[in-house]
Amino acid sequence: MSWFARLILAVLHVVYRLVLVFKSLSTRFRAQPSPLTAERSKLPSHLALSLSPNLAAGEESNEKYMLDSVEKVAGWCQVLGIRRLTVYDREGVLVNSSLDIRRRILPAQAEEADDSPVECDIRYPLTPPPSDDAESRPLSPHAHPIVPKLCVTTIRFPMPSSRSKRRASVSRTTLKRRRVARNDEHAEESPLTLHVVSYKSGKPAVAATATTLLRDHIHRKTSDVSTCISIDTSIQNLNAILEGEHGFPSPDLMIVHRKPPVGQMRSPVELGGFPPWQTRLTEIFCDPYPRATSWWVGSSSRVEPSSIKEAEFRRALDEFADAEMRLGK
Amino acid sequence: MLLQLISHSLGWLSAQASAKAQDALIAVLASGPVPQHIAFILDGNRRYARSKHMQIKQGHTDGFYTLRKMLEICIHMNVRCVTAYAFSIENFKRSPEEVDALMDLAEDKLLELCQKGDILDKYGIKLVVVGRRDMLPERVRVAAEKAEELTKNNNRAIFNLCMPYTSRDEIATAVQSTIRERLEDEDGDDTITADDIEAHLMTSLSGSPPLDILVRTSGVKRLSDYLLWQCSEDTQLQFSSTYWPEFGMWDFVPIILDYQRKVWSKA
Repeated sequence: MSWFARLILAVLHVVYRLVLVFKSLSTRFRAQPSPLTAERSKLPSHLALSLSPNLAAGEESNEKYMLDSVEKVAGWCQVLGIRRLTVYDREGVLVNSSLDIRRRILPAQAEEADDSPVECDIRYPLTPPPSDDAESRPLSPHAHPIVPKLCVTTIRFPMPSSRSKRRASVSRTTLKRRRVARNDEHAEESPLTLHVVSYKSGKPAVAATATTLLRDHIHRKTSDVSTCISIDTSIQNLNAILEGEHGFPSPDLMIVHRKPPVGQMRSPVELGGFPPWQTRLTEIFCDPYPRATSWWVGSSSRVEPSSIKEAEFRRALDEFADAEMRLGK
Repeated sequence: MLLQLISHSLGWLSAQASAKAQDALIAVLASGPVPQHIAFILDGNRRYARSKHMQIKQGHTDGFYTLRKMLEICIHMNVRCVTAYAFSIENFKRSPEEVDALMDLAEDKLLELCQKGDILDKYGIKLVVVGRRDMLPERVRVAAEKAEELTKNNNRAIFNLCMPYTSRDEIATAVQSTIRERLEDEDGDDTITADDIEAHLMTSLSGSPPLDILVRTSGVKRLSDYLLWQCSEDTQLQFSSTYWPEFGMWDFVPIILDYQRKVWSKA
């Protein structure tokens, strides 16, 4: 009888596939999302973009599509005033291309800055001193603890003409300066903090934090046996480390952009290793029927990963504006 | 009178027919690959109650019956582990009346579930209450412990009931217990890995396999501090717009089909 059940199951799958094809085709007729600069009831203050490589495509073409996507999204964020953007890919392709990313996003601002040298602050993940090196250990229990290896690269793009404004230091003129700045902000792009993360910024970073807390405790115990120091593994402390200066905070909205493998018209969203600590209250957006124009293509070698389209971005913002946050209540 | 009898009989027949059809459909689905571990976020009880002009309490009760129904469907499909987000630590912020009503419901239903002949006993399901049980009122804690004790030797399936739970609390607790264990172990090395922390998560301690599918109902598309660690890799996230008390086979079948498509595409 089990062969009969398997036969019915195969039929069920054929029917389901037809339903998915129908739904995919009918998305071409769905309503267009609101324009990029349309009024929305709320905008995320921190956006995350999660990219996955197309396994069928080559390394170079994947890197290109990822950098293209980051450049586009960074541009849209600056237009909309979204000040924090986190970009993620599991393998760290983006992390390895941090300088490329900086070069691509910066030129637009370099043209604005005339008199002052454009400065861009890149913070690379700290490499903690080797723990077996006696010289590097803090000698007193009150010394600043060693920072765990969180593997988060942060790039800060300043306001284009903010440097010339900073020179006006007299307090009386601050009101005037602020008014001028506000008018200008509409015309120019706003500052952006970009976090570039990979799988290592997630679970391994939590493990690194635990390791640091453990080693710190062991060290304090050996250097001062009389005091009983408890280890603070509270949510607040872990949060202060993971979302702190060397980590990155939780995004409000995450856009998961990927092309389903050839042959699949739709697959449910997967987080692909995005740092778990920071996904607590994040709205997750994934276009259920990406315009997989090549789904009828037989040969997978002709599949090129496509960078994110503006429509997908706008649709994500529309959905975010509609989402209701009850926060447990 | 005769008309009443006929309509009653027809009603019974159609219920029997639909039950048989559901069993047949489950058997068909179970002939293909089946997920080992499914998690549910039971969202939408209150909105469902409001839409039907019922009391909120009734919404939660209907939600419980849906949970029971889905648990049974999963067991018939040979799913090894089901995890349900019944109550978040954040939910204590709700009105005292609602929290009390939920605690009453929890106590009642825990005792009901572990009775002889009821679902846990019938299908050999081990119930594990996951979360900060020290935050539960005494009576609920006692009911939970009783249910766990009665089912601890069941080994056909695991049912993790998360209440009250948040994922960050689970991760922080796992970090703490990993560190504590390492300190007590004299030969332990001072490097903690992600696997070490994972082994100390409450879901791992109850013996749960890796999470295959997470279902959230009522159209909300976020995790709300639920199983963040467990679903961060290749768990399929299924966001259904149905309210939880109305969730059923019609919503569940495509979820299983999606899972099977994934397994076959990887083969």
